[in-house]
Amino acid sequence: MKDSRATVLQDIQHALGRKTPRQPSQFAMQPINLSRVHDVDLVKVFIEQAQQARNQVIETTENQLISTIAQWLEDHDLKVSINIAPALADWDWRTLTVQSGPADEGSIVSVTPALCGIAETGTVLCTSGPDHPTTLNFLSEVHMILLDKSQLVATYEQAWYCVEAQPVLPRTVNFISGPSRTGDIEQTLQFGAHGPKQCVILLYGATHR
Amino acid sequence: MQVNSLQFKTAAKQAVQDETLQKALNNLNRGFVVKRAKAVAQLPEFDRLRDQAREVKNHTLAYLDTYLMQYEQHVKAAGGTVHWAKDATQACEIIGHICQQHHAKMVTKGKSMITEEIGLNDYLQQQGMQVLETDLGEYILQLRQDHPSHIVAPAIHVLKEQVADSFRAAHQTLDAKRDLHDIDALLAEARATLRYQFGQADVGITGANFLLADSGMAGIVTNEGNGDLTQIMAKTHIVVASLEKVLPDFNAAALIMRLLARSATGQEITAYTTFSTGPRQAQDLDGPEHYHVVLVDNGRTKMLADERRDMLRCIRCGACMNHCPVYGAVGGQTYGWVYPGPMGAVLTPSLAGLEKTHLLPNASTFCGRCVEVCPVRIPLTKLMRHYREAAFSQKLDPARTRWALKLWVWLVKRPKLYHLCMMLAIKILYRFGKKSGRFKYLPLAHGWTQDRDFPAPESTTFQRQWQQYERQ
Repeated sequence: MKDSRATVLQDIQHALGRKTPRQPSQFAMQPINLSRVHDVDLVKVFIEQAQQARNQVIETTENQLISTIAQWLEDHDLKVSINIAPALADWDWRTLTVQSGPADEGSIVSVTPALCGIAETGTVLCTSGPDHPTTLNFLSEVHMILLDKSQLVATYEQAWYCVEAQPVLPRTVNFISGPSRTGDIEQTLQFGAHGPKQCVILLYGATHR
Repeated sequence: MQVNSLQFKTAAKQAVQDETLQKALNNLNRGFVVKRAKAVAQLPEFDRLRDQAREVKNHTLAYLDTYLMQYEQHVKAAGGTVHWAKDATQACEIIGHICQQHHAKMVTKGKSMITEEIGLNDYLQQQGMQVLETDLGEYILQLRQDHPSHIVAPAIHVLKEQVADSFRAAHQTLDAKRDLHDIDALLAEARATLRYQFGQADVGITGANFLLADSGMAGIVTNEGNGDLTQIMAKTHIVVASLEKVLPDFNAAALIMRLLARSATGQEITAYTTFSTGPRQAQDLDGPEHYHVVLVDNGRTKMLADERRDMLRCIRCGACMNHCPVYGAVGGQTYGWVYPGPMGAVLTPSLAGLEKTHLLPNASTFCGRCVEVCPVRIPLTKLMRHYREAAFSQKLDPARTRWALKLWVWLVKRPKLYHLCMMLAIKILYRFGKKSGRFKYLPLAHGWTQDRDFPAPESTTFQRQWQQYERQ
């Protein structure tokens, strides 16, 4: 297959009118300030956008995270073992039965931390890793996402800086904007196609401002 | 997939009579078109983003080799393997070989137009593998042995009753008397049926909306989560992507992320946009063990060389076909191949050759709505005209058409003679049409009069009327 690599590259160069690769000219892209996240209360915009994307957003405090989760499960009549990210394994889960690790096909509720939240579309960013395996984001029916307000950024580009700031670039980076959905049957919107049917964002802490 | 574009006229006639299809196409106009307009209205910077996206794509295409090599380097560094395929046959062989290497019996797939283009499913099935489409629309089509009619909503032409029928026929282990009247029941059944398949897959194949050169990441944009489950649950993940998907870095992808969902479905963003590269890392608890990327040319390098390079900017949003009156009348399957609508009218001749596809650039009134809505400002009508000219000079149109055009050109180049002929024609039509104001039959106009009356002129030619007006 080495031949085809050389062939394709040669064909590209031929099409571009040259015989060798060239270093790309510096491409200066003038960043466009999105008015919706320019000079605004990021928390407010994040919540609005996240709700528009069909997340349920619950504002709470760090101390009350576990009780908020417990209450939510009770309100929704879910007396199940919940799948938690290993990052949360040391927390005091009190009466809740938890399983730390990747999710499986039988998972009903998963709880994971988010790396950051993006105000422009109410998106949460989750990365793979031993402390927060990716299957927790996709296999459960309810995905509960813990997001610290100080981790809110305005734009996708800013969120990527958070990813690049990690010691190692993760294998998988998920931008998650609400529950799984499809319009494939007669263009009617339905939730829970293959991923979670519900996304609950627990927003806690104070912003860095 | 075989190219059937020369059947366009016959297929179009059938499509217009097909009540099921027409019902489905009506939904399309009310749905995507209205939603896109709303989303665009909510983002004041939308047009400027389109300009930037065009610039970024043009820049990338001008250095396509460099960016692809950079991308390849990073994939290797992440523990993946990059393969290069000159054409569809080679691409299938490479993917088949990888599957055989990993003793694959079952292959899951995320939605991928490039894999339709290269005919991958048939190839793998011939090699003895089970191939399972996991995107709901594609899964429905697979059960029906049907083909996508839209690049974003592939099963848009299928009614829910038809889905229910297909599910009953395919899911034999379930209670035959179950109620599948509700679409919720249909979705629940699809979800349950496919749930355990993801983990059983030896190989998971996805396409890519973006390839990031500076990190080796491949990005997919989905709503269902099936693309994600396909890639993280299978033992081997194969990404299949055409060359022009590469971008310099994440900032370029972010730009396109802002345009793609809004243009396609009117969503601000899809539920999932996922970037990934390489197999699972040493400490990861889930993810594929092996990672391969197959870069596919299949005609793109030829397009790069001339004005068709503009078409390589396409981000596969489907806005053009959503807004196209021709697509809206006949649906995607009429176009006879993988890519329908305005983008298909340009891409299909580019990839499959004009001889088999020259009717498609003619499937347009040049109303220009596609150009108006294209997020990366592809001059679609200009490119269709390029192909019309090429078809004419290659004598692909029937002789009658070419002679009619040649006569027209001859006349039009002689304005006085042209006007004289027009005057004569209008006078005759006026004389005979005066009574009823319309014609049920007209020589040479059967294509028009078989479905509708031809209006009679009310007086004389516009030019003559204008001259009279000027004299007043």
